[in-house]
Amino acid sequence: MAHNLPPQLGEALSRASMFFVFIFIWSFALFAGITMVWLLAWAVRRGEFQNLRDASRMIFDDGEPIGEVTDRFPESIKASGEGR
Amino acid sequence: MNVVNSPTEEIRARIEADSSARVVVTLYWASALFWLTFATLAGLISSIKLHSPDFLNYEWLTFGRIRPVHWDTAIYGFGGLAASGTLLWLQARLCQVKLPFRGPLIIGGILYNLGMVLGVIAVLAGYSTGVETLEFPVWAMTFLVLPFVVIVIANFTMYARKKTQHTYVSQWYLMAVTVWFPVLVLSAEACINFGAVDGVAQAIANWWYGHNVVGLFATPTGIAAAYYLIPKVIGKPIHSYHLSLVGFWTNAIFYNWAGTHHLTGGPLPAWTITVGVVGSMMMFIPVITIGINHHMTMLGSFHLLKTSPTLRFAVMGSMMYTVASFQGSLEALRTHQEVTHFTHYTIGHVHLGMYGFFAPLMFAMMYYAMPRLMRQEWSSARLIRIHFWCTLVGTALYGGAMCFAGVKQGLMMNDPAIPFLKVVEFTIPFLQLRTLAGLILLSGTMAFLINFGRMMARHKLTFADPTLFTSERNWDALLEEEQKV
Repeated sequence: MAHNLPPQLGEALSRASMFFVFIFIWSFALFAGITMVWLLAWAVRRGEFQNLRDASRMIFDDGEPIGEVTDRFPESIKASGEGR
Repeated sequence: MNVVNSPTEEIRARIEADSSARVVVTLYWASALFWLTFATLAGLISSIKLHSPDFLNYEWLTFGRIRPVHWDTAIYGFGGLAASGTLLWLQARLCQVKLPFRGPLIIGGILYNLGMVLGVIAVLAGYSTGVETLEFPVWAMTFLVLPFVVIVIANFTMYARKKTQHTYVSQWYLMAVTVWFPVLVLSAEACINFGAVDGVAQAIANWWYGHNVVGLFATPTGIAAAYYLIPKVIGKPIHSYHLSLVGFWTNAIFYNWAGTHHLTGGPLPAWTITVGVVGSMMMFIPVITIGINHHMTMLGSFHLLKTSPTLRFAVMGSMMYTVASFQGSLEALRTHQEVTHFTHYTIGHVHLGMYGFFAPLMFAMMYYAMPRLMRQEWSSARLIRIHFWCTLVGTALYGGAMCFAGVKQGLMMNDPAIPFLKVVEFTIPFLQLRTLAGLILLSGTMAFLINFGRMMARHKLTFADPTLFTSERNWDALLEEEQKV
């Protein structure tokens, strides 16, 4: 579209759009970087790196406790003849 | 902080999380499977064309069009939707909350699929941008990015509402994905398709994106799935939770730097390549820690591979993560690249990563979660077995044939005495093997699609001995006990 405009105007528009794109990229990168550092600091303050034994066990509960296998092939359906 | 204390509340929260995610996650995974089948079919057509160029000789099916369609539907169609479904289900479960924004998420899923259809049509019609992994025109990519805004908001909302005290390692990965992916896509689009940079700098931006879309989107989701599924299925906590956190943070720090190794030998400043090589070498740290952790967790439970479909796929994916990542890091070395660059070796590596590591972990997630979401068992154990063996054999044949052919092809190309046509002739039998591997992979995918479709159609099933809902039986018992008290 820019090639239909007077050359100087086209160049100015192109420079302006590049400027905004660069501003966008750098501010986005800065935002993402600061967010990650803030998240790490927040996690440390919140005690996320303490008592890791409990953290590793949080996927289990009384319904699916440690020691219980929670997945197997649906063989029993076939064996009973009720499945298909 | 609202922490759940009662065991019955924990179980209730888990089951409610599953119920709330049913429609959204099923939509995302069903779409993912459709796109996987489409991608595998497009890949098969591309593969046949390499040894039989006149196959389907139509303008819109030329190699330059169907091959990008194969990759884009694999990474965005299957990868994007499978990972999003995984993210939403896992985060709801781990936070012990209901999935929020279900309406917008369903609309997002539909928009995403629409974007995929438009992108595929555009590329097949010849409107590709020509930039690898970003071939879809910007207007089609917009449909893929917008739904992700809802996913990001839903993810952070669940985390903010979480009823658990800790953040599980899988959650670290899932939270990171929702921070990294938007930055990746928007920056790459701004740099490349909006023309912020051009020439060599555009190639750098392209490979920074191309490498990281796998490493900072697909890989973290796959690892998150493995860290949840392996301990959960075998009923044993992770071997070392410390190591898992070391793996996460080193992955977060080093992966981002590795992309420029794709341009080794290219007209780039040497330091940019060196940064990529160093980043790739540093990746040995997370890869080794994750590999050790998964292996040590599985130690003593390998016999369960015979009886658990989820575990089969999860362990296959985890093992292939180690293999493909070691291979990828070594591939970054300049001496290695002298032989393997621009050969079929790279294609072999990519498939070991995507079809050997990422896809099996997504399959594992679906095999584990779908019965809990739909409240019914898979209809056929035989179809699961066919799916598993086709995935394993197909990937091994594909990776083995392409990597071996690639090394030999590279050595032959480096010998000026060998005419180029001889090199091409040498690769043809291996390209035919690649087609055979593609057919095997497609057969496996079809078996899964049938099983998945049967479940979707609410295939009539009665449980002789429910294998997957013991927790709900326990839940009922606990509730009864609670009422007595």
